[in-house]
Order: sequence, then C-alpha cells, then structure tokens
Amino acid sequence: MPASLSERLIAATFRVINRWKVWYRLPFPLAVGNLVGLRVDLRWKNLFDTETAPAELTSPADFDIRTCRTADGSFNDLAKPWMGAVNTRFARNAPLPQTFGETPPGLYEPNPRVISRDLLARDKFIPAETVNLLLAAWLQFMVHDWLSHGVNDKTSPPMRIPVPPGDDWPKPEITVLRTCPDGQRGPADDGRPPTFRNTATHWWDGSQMYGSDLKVQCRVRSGPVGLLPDGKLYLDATGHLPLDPDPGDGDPEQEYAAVNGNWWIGLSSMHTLFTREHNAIVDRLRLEYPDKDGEWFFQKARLINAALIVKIHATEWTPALLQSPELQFAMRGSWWGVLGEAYFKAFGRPLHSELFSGIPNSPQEQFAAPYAMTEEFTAVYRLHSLIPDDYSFRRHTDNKELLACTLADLFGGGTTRVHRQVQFEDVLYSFGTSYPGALVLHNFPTHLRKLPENIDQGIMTDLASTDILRDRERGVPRYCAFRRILRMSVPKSFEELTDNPTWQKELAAVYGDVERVDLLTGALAETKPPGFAISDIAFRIFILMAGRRLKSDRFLTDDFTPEVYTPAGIDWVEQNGMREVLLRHAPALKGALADVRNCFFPWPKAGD
Amino acid sequence: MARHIRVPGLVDVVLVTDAEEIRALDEERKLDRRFVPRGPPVNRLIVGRIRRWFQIKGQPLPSLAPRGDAVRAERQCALAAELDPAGGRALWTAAQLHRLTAFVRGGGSRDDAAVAIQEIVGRQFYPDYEADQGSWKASEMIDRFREGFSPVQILWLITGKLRRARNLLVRRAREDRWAMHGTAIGMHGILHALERMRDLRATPAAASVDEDTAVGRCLAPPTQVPRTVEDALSTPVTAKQLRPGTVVLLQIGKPDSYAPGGEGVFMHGHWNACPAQAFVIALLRAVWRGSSGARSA
Repeated sequence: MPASLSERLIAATFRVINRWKVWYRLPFPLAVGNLVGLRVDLRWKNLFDTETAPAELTSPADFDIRTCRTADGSFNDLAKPWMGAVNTRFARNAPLPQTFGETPPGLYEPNPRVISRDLLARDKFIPAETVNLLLAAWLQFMVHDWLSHGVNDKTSPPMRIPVPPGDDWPKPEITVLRTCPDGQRGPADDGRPPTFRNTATHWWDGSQMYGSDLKVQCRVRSGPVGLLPDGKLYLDATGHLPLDPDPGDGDPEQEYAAVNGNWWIGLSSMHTLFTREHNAIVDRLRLEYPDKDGEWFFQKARLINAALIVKIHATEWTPALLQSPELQFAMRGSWWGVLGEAYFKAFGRPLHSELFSGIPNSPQEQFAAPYAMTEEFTAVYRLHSLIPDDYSFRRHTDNKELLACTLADLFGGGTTRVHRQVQFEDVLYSFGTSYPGALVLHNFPTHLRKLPENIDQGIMTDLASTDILRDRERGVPRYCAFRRILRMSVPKSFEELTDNPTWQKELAAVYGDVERVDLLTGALAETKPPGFAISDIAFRIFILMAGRRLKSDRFLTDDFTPEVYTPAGIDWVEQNGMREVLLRHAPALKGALADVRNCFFPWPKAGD
Repeated sequence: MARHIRVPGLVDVVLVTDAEEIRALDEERKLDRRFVPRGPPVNRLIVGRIRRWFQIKGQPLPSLAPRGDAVRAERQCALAAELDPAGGRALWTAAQLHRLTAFVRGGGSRDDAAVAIQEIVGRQFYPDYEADQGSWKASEMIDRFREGFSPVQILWLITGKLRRARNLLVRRAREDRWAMHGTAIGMHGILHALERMRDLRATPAAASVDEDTAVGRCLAPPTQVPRTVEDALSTPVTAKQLRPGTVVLLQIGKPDSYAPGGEGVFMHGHWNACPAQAFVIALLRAVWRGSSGARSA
C-alpha cells in the first residue's frame, strides 16, 4: 500500500523545511514530526529489492508456520514465503544503478591502509562516557542475529592493498579475501550490480542463538545425551555455554553458540544471558501449560525471547545510543506509540495503529520492497571503535580488580578462561561500569588493526583497512554520494564535513577531494547531532531499518497476539526489560542496578 | 500495491511502480496496447493522443503495437538480429563515435551529440538517413509531448508546430514505423545515458569504472509505458477490479527505482523486449571505452 496522503503531506512539508533547517535544530514537537516525515521518505525512496528469481517454497507439512518461526526464516510473510529467509539476497538502500562495486585502481584509492593508519588508528582510547560497554556487546549480539556474509571467497584472487612506504606492517601488501559471491545469479541478473546473500535469517528472530537451519537448532538444544526433551537450550552445569566440539579455529576452549564467530567475552555474556532467559521462559510456560510438550515450549520460548530482545533494543539500547529527547520519544514510541508506556500499561493497545500504539500488533507492511537486510545497513553498523583495547574485570561488591587483560586475551577460548576466573555477575558488572570507545576518528581498536587471522600461516588482518575495502567492494556509495541518496545536505569541503580543524587537515591530506571520503570515515568524522553517539547519516539508516525490522515481521505485527505467543508470553515480553533479565540471571547485581535508569547507561561503581 | 486514480466520469488510471507487479501485468493478456478509446474523458484523451501522434498511416509505432500484432513480432526478431554487433555489420563509424566520446569527455554540446545519435540510429534503417538540428529538435519535441501534459503543448498543437515536427520525422524515416520509433523516441534513452556518462566521467572515480558498470549506472528505461485494460481484470495489484478502458501506466523507469540490466531497461525476456538491446549496450560500451583519457577543456 503506498504512503497515505497524510504521510505524504508530512514528508513533503518537512522536505521543504529541511532545506533550511536540519531536523535536530527544530523545536521538540516539530523535530518529532520531522522524524515521522523522514521515515516515510526513507521507507518509500530508499528500499530496493535485489531478488530476481526468489525460490519457490512449499510449506513444511509437520510444522505450524502460522504460530511458530521456522528455523530458516521462511514463511514469515505468507504471501512471499522466501522473504527474509536464510540465503536470500541482501537488499539495498541506494538505487541499484549506484551499487556497482568499485574496481581497481579506484578500489584502492585512497589506500585503505593509509586511512587505517592516518585517520582511524587509536592513539589513545577515547571513551563514550554516556553509555557502558554492554552497549557494544549487545550490538554485536544483534548484528549476528541479522546478518552475515558467510565465509569469504577462497577461490578468487584476493584483493591486495599495497602497504605504503614507512608503514610498520610486516609484509609489502595486505591481502583481503573477497566477499563470497552470489552463486545463484541467473540471466535476469545480467547487467545488474553484484549481489550477496545473507547466511543468517534476515529477521529479528534470535537466529544468533537458535541458528538459521534445523541442524544448528538441534545442536543448541542438545546436551551430551541428545536433544533436551523439555524445550530448553543446553547450558553446562555451571550455567555457561558448552565448549564447541568442532571449533572453527581449533581452540578447544571456544564456547559453542549457533553463531560463534568473532567470539569474545562481550558476545559470550549476551549469549549466556539470553540462553538462560530462554530457559526461564520455558519454566514459566510449563507452569501455565503443563500439558504441552518440549517442542511446543521451545518454539513459544523462542518467539517470546526474540520479541523481548526486540523490545530491549527499541526501548533501551537505541535510546541510550541516541540521547536526544526527540529520539527517546520516537524510539520508545516505536514500541508503545505516541500514547506512551504509561497509557499502554493502563489501557493496553486499543488501536492497531503504529503511530498511536506502536508497531507491535499493528498491520505488517513491507513498503517499497520485500523485507531484507541491506548492504548499506551492514556498512553503517561497522562500529568497531566501540571496542576498548584494555579491560579491567572487577568485583561487584567492592570494585576490586580481579583481572586486567587486553582484547587479545578475550577472543575465542580466552573467554572461557575469563569465565573461570571471574564470576558471571562480575563480568556483567565490569561491562556495566566500563565505557565503550567513542565513534570518532582515531579510535579504532589497536588489536583489531593487527588481528591474527591465521597466525600459523603468518596471515594478519587490519580490520580498519578491511572495513574500508568491504564497502567499496560491495558497492556501498561513498559518504557524499550516500548523503545525496538520502537527500541530505552534502559537504562541499572538509570544513563543512567536520568542525574539528585537525581532522579537516588530516582528511584533506588523505583524500584530497571530499567526494572521495568513504562512508565509514565520513560517518566517524562528521559533526554529530546533540546527544548522539552515532552520525546523522548512520542514524537515517537506523530509523529506516529499526522500524522496518519490526514492521515487516508478521510475528511482531499481525501475529503479536496472545493467540500466537500465549497470554503468558505476551505478558513476559511486556513486563520485562534488560534490568529484569540481568537480575533474573545475576541477582547479585541488584545493588549495582538500583539507581540505573537505563541498563546501557554507565552503572555506579561499588563504593562510589 | 499500485496507485489507482479514479474519479468516476473523469479519469481511471493505474500507476504501477513495483517491479514484480510490472512483470506480472506485462504478461497479463487482458492488458494490451490496442488503445481503443473508451472509458472516462481523460482516458480517451490519453488514448487519443497515442493513436493520433504515434502512428504512421494508421499503423502504430512498434513500441505501441499490440502483443498480437504478428508483423510487429516478426520485425522485432529480425531487427534484433540486424542490430546485434555480433552479426559483424559495422553499426557506426569512427567519426560518429568520436562525436559521442568527445561529448562524454566534456566537449561539444548536447545538441551535437543528439544529432550524432539520431544519425547513427537512423542509418541502421537507411544508410543515407539525414539527421540535423531540425530533425533533432523535432524529435525532442515529440519526446516532451510523449512524456506528459503541459500548457505549452496546447500552443504546439494550435500553431501546428507539433504536426510539422512529426511530419519531418516521418519524412526522414520514409514512413517506416521502426525508423520513426528509433529516431523520434528510442534515441532519447541513449542521449540520457550519455549525459549521465558525461557526469560520471567527470568524477574522480571514473578511471576505475569499467564498461559494464558505466553502462549499468548510466542506462535507464523510459519513465513509463502505457497499456489499456481490454477486458474486466481482477488483479492483486489493485484493490478493485479494473474496467475495460482503464489506462495502466507501468512506471518502469521511475527515477532512482529501476533496476539496471536487460530486463529492467529493455524488458528482455518479455514479449515487448526492445530489439536494440545489444546495439545500445555495445554503443555505450564503445563510447565509455573511447572516452577514457584526457578530458576536453
């Protein structure tokens, strides 16, 4: 259904206003209206489908697709059952003709290693002091739910970044494997830009915990003696994730999760927390519905757990990241509507209206294109600067340091070793009382710029260079081009891009022409809206895709009902939040969280 | 879902932008290009314009001929073979190509490039086809007339300017419907692509844009193509059943929403595929290739 007349009027009005004034410089009510207008515009002008011959699926005979999420994400949209399923294509936020990947020599210009070294490298940790480190861990936990480009292409010649003279990189070039190409292109794709497939389901369905296929799903539900009959996910006797019997990098202490790539303590904590939450939901459902079987408990608990994660992201995580009154209102409004949480608690959701009662239980809509994660969304979620290099694990009772280590100590099996030395609640406390890195230039983690990808073969990775190169490879428009695509004002000089005079000179030295600035660099350099931890350009994609992940999903719209979730399930989602989850599985944190308004804000330290 | 604009007794038009819906409607046999005047007045006006201005001796131009037109279908196949560079025939001269590459490099005027394109296209049909500023301006007027309604068009009609422009093009095309389509309508797609190429060539990234990418980025389909409903049609694209005479505009080239590639731009694989696909792509590739090097002052 095209945008309604009122929506088009709002969007058109603010398009005119925004020629003179950007949305965050308007008074509160107008700024909120402007956000509504922006979202309408983005929904109808920045969603592009890349599928040409989607698979024709038949509904599984032994599975209730109406009331449960399939393992592979199919049959969420009943009219287009392939939509959002694993191995469907990434869509785009940029018009397709503008998404052809870059090729040499432009692919390497300016040299990504020079950008990494001269603009991104962390000289000194710059903290983001308005949020805590759980925010960074949560983000990665979410990204693993939404998207993965899978294992890189080992058959094509890799991309080769020449290492500039005087650089301390140990080899003359940095090799970067290409993104795994789409192996299912057909004649209808001739002349079209390259496409890539998502190896996770596109939906916000907890697939990082539950897997994107039945095999993995069975594995996370299985203990040493097979599938758990009670519908729970397997945790070991200490309440931690089991070790991976077949670790990808050969580390025998690597924990197992449905998605356990790029594993570190932050990711492990989130997985552990929400695996425990799944099991708690099963226990609650068993009390209410004692005659149901384990499969039913599993499927319902998955639905409920995934919806709770969505709610926490929309009403707690995002407002922590975007601390402006307008965004607090708008993001919480996406769950409770403009009538607000208090009205919801008193009267429920009387209207099936996104505007008044929030997206849950409003009608499912796909807007300009079938639902899929986009390459541009992937690009603006490159937020590695959030990760610190140094960590201090402290006891929640007295803030005494238990363990000091670097990021390198926390990768893969290092996580298990930390869990042995530090109690789970102390890990969470340490994250809650630590700052992530600020999303600015010169704050890319040092460890991630010299990452041992395959230490045995002497292969190293500079993730900062790789981030730059990936966007170019996948045809993500550069910063100025992308601003045009989003109908934003475009800087004509480095002085207009950032008000930091040092950065202006540094950017000019590396790029020469402001039009050549990469999306990642521009987003880190640009002057941010007041209270924002991220750039305005990333924010535009956030407000488009954040709402879309809910609005396109049948289980978060039409079927967010007691009939599908059970009354106990809907209550669980509506009555709980991050605080309740943390306290349920780490009750010792009650004191630490006593004065915390949002669990992603910095927690007070014990003894303060 | 498509936008249905219906005011009883005045207008009944459907605008379709979704690629999947366009694909489905393009194959729908109850939608065709017969353009029988019926329905409300605005529909009759739209259809009347098509029938009056885009025909030669009562026969519609090929891009507006019905799917069942056997002559159209046959000529479409033959033309696709004739215009295929793989056939070995020289489709343009070095001098003609030079005029286009000079334009993309930043030299020359749009009008000069347009005349060169019209000449290249016209000579696919008649080796002595003559293009000049007059025939180009006539073609430009026909294209603007085709794109929509405007008050200035009434002036063109009253003063006979439009009629003279059309007559000139028909004469130059020797009353050949296919030559007329190419030189009056089809050529504009190439010109617009060259204009985008000129902009692309001016960017710092131009050196690393290969031919395929340049063509993909620059070549766009026509904004919209018309159809009329021949028989009552129920379709998921609209909430209500469509009546005979409803005008359906398939907006295949809505700015920033089309997909590059054979199907998106040329309707490749469909009954109404453009036979000039291989020719246009080869020409644009050659222009991009030839325009590399120093930019004109």
